[in-house]
Amino acid sequence: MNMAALVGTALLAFGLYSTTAASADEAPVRAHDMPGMEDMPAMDAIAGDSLYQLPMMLTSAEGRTFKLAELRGRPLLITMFYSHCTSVCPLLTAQLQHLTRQLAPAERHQVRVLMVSFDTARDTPEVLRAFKAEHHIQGANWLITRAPASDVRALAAALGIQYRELADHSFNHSAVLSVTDREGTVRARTSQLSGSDASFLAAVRAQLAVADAKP
Amino acid sequence: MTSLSIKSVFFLTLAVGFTPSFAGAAAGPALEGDLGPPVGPPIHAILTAPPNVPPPIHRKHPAKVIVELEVRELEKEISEGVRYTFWTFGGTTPGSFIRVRQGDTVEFHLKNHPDNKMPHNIDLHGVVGPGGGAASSFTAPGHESQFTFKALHQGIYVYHCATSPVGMHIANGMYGLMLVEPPEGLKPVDHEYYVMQGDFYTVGKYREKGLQAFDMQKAIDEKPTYVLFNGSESSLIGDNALTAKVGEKVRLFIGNGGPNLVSSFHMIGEIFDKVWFEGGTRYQENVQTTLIPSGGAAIAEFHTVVPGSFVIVDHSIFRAFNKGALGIFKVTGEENKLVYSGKEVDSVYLGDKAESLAAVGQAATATAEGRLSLEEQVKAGEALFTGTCSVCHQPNGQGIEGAFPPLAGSDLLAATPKRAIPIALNGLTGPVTVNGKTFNSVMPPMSQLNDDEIANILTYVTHSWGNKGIEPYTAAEIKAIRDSTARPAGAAN
Amino acid sequence: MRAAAFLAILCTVALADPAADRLPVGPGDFVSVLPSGAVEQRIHVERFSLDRRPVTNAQFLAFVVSHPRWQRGQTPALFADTDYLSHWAGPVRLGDNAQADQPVTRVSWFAARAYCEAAGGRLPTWYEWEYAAAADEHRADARTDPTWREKILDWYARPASHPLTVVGQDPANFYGIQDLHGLIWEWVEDFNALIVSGDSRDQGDPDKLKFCGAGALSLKDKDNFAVLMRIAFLSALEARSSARSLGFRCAAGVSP
Repeated sequence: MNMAALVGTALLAFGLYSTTAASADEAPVRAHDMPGMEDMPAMDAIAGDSLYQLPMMLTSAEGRTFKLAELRGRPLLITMFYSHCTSVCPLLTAQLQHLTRQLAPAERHQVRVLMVSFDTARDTPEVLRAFKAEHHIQGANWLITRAPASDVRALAAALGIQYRELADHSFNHSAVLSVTDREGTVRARTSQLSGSDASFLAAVRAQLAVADAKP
Repeated sequence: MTSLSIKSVFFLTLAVGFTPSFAGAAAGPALEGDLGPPVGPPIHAILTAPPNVPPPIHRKHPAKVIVELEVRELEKEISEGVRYTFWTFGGTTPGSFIRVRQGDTVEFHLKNHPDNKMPHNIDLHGVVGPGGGAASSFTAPGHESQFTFKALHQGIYVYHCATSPVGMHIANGMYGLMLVEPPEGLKPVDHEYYVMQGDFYTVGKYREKGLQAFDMQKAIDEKPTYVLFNGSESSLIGDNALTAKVGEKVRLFIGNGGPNLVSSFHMIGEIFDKVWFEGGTRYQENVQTTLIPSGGAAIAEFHTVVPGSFVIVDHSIFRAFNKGALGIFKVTGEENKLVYSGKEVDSVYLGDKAESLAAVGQAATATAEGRLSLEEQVKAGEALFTGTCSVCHQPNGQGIEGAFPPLAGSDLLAATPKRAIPIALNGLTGPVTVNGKTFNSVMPPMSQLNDDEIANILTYVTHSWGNKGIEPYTAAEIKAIRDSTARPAGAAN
Repeated sequence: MRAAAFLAILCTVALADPAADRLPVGPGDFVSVLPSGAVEQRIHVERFSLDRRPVTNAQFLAFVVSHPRWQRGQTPALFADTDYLSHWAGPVRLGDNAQADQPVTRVSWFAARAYCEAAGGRLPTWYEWEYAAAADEHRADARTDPTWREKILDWYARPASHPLTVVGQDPANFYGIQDLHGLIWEWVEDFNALIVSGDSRDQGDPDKLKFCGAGALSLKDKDNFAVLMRIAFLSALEARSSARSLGFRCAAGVSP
């Protein structure tokens, strides 16, 4: 770092400190109030514990790249997987399909399903398209995606999912299905892979009821 | 500050969601041991520290019982002057005693205090479910986990921490007992007590003073430094002795946390009327010594007939005298000469143990401060002699004719006082002549005693029973002989 | 006025040239306690650099001053719980319970990550951390040395209620790096890759459906309590949680 940058940083730091110190015990400065950051979304509008606090970009099987936060507004069923998984992930996918089939048609249109791959390197949009076809996944509401490895790690951390790539490029991972409310806060989780988790289904329905009630 | 983790919220949601279906399940074929849904408001379980036990349960219906158990990592005394960092359930080793009734629905809260360094969980042997609850209770410091189970089986069950490395968590004291009473309850008795044996592994030697660390290699080799009841040498002696009066009925809930050793549990001078061996539903009668497996428990009942101090030991006897597996049950009241007429043997060789430790501790402090007096040496030496040497050489130093040489007025000591040092350290076999009589026995090495202790004992011996004119012994000269002579095979240090 | 100037200097010092206080480690191969598959393989660690010392309260303070989103009270609940920096006197004030040169603790994984990103780096991976921590003062791999293990087990015996010592007190290890043992637990980038079942006795009994494929793999070298306990601790955490004796340091180099 050259001298000018050093001095600049020092001044910026000093300036920030002055502003913050003055209001040390009052409401602190918000990120988007800072100079040069006006174009950041009004973050105080997103709930503190919402997944949409994560600034991550996803790429879908259709090749579309979008921000995670764009999914805000509808309840979200979210899980993580990888396409060449042979034991758990097929069960997870089937469980998701089973769950959505148990919803009334009106409910089904309200919910979105998001699957994010652990395997950034291998699960290209082309591979994801093949996965979709293989599992007969249709509809615009069902998103099969991949994201940069660092963001995948953060999303898994936020969802409480553990995963590890092994030497043969398979993944050791836990299977968790979560449902969020419209604002992105996780409201229920299940690890049940067979049969029907009645309480989870009830939680999904509850989020949809809230969604319907809003104008 | 504790906070509910996502995990516990998750289980809470499950539990709440499950309750309606639970009630529905009761209508179908009942599980064996399931006495139906809980009745009445939830009860907060009373947990007690050893050796006390929560009061008997008198209700006749299943209930929801809330158990809140906190894990604390604490530095405590394991032996006089010796400290150890215990990992505990409820601040004690063994941990708090939990008492519920068969059929109860137990809502278990495990809290890990933020001052702790390690994550912990709990495996209750009385729980039917993965890991006995361990899978659902893995808790980081500053957090709390919750899970719920139904106590389907009556019995007395061990619980312990099952976090990797499991052996270390248990060796550091993370075990306790949970009693699941049968629906009809237990017969009333006058006293109920809670005793749990455990083996401990320290880097330092037995009774080496100071803060001792856990020795992983000794634990793997199964070579404990201490074998103790209720986590310390002094937990059941002196003022802490268990008590009863003559003519009373006593029930002992006895556990063995291990991690490695099994216990040959015995009360010297008492016979157990009934022992529910392995904590099961059947009992044996008229038992002298009962085997309690590592990770197991038993219930023993006896009635008191004569007064006295009855010594509780692990009858793998070197553990009692050389590793600390010793406690006292003191019975007071009228003598019954028809049943037992003799004098109290134990008040000499073990009843004074509390005082003995005090004198030893005092001498150790004085030594550390460089001001050990002859009087302090003699007092400490007397206490140690009483506990170790008097068994053979007798409390008055007379020895036993034809077996053990006398120390009182010994011409061998008077002529060659320094010879006592290698004898004390390395033992003696083969013929030896004292005061004109020849003895040919085996004296085992006493090298598990440290240099201060041997110096004090020899100083006491040479200043008692008419022995005089011999300079007090110093720890330095003991050390010199210890370093320059070989120990027989199997001797300590 | 003086305090403000002092803080400004702190910021520049902290952010000016973080690379100066990072030392090179690797490349190398080693056998990890955490296996990479059913067949045992040596793990290869590419050359990377690791902070000489854990991040201190002073350094973290400079970070939150220039990144207010990470000040206590401002950080979204997704990224930090209510214990976050709770030992500081204020959101931008250390106070008596947080000395400048003590390692910063009570920070969540998200906060640690954000700091490292701002400092031109990232968190080390578990393998990188384990590789660097296998060293003692004289050699790269001291893990079979009883002295190495005893020193670590000694630390576990001391409850976390004792105040933390400041960083840099211990002699440097083979790589010149300090305080990998005996001071604090440390976050790693893939803390949620340490798949150990909550009940640690399940090792060797793979529940294939619980962890997909190989199940929760058995930990190697069950005698190495020192390392097992690090894994047990990290696997008990959530990304947003913090603990009294949990801090971090940063690494740099190509992300493995």
